[in-house]
Amino acid sequence: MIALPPAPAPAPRRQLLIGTSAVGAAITMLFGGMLAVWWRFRENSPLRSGAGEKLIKDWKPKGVKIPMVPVNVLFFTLIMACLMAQYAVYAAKRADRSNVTLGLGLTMLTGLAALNAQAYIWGQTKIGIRDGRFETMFYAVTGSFFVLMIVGLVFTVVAAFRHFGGRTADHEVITSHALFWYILTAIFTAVWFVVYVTK
Amino acid sequence: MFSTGSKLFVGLAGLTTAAFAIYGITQNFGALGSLGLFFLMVALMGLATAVIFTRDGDISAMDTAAVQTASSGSQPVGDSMWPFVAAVSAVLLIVGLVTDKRYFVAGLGILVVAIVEWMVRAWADRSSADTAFNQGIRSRIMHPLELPLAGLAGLAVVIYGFSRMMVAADKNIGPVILGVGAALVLGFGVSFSKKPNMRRGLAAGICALGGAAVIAGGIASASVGQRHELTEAREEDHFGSRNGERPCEGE
Repeated sequence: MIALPPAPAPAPRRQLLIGTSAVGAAITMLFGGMLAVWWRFRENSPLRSGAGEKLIKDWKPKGVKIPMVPVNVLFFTLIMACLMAQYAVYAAKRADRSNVTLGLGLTMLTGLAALNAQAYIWGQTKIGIRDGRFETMFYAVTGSFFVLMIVGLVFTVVAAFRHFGGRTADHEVITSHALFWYILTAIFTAVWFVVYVTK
Repeated sequence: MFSTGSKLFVGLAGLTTAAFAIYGITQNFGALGSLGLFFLMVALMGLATAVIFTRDGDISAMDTAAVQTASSGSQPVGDSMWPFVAAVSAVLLIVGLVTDKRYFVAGLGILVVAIVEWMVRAWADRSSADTAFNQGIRSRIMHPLELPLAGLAGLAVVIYGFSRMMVAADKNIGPVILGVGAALVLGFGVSFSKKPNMRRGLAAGICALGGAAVIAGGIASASVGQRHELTEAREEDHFGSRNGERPCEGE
């Protein structure tokens, strides 16, 4: 019997990097939709006279004060997380295992600090999720981002586990991990501007 | 320079940019449409950058380390229940967030376990081309952790289930349940030791049946609630646990 030759092995591809990019695109669209609804809510809110006959959009409930210091701290913490994730990529390309450990460990630490900053912002704003439309949307946007940060931390743990498990030649997971933190920071830049700055 | 994938995404990004500009100008940059198109444009530009950077995800044949470690070149992983468990725990986490914090804590605990199990399984599956060897590695790493923890969890469930049965049962029936339960455990223990060649499946079935009986009894008893004497004693603080005074002392 003449057997057919075996099929060729599949061509190697950077699946994780492309997969992370696709997830990033999905996250971008999710937050795009949420921020568009937020902006529309602001546009449709009624006008009222403020100090000096100035007309202002009456969309944020009175008494709601969002502390900007922890918000900016959160922003800079995310930038630091990106730097640390990129540092891990730099070290992984040079097979510098101890510095990969340092980079991933610091990414984890800064990620936890970012979670803490978000929780502190919620504590300081002292608003309930069911208090009104503004409050519900505020928690929807910031809560979704909180979940994404947790996903980022899980990614850090997975990347560290794979690297310390002996796959030191596999740089793709470390690169994809850094890409995910870049995406998170880019998304937070939009959230920071729309939700916190232009309030 | 432009690969097939990059042509697609660059074209789509360009089209969306044009749509954003036309929509913005004609609709005075209305919030919903403009922001939606803007974020679509950003997402497509990101994808276009990714496929240009990775040449459609292809790995250069010269990059030997990447060729060896690429996921698509490795054996597919076997079936695993852990992704399903992780998804269920994530749902439990979200449901617990808005309903009861006990569900949240349970979801968190199960999620951590699922992630660890999933990672170890994925790592072990890629250790070699030999499935039995991979299974052995997984067992060697996880069994020292899994077995004591599973034993502890099982013990906690049995103790809690039994305690619910004892507080629900009448005070005269309680000792009988305890005695019969202890006698059954002793009886099966003796029979297991006397017949070391007993089929493992049968022994496991008997143990599982006993555990299920305790859990079912515990759930049924918990739904009934504790016996009225205990409720009364708690309400009247018979044991002085709240005010520190023991009514029976000195009498």
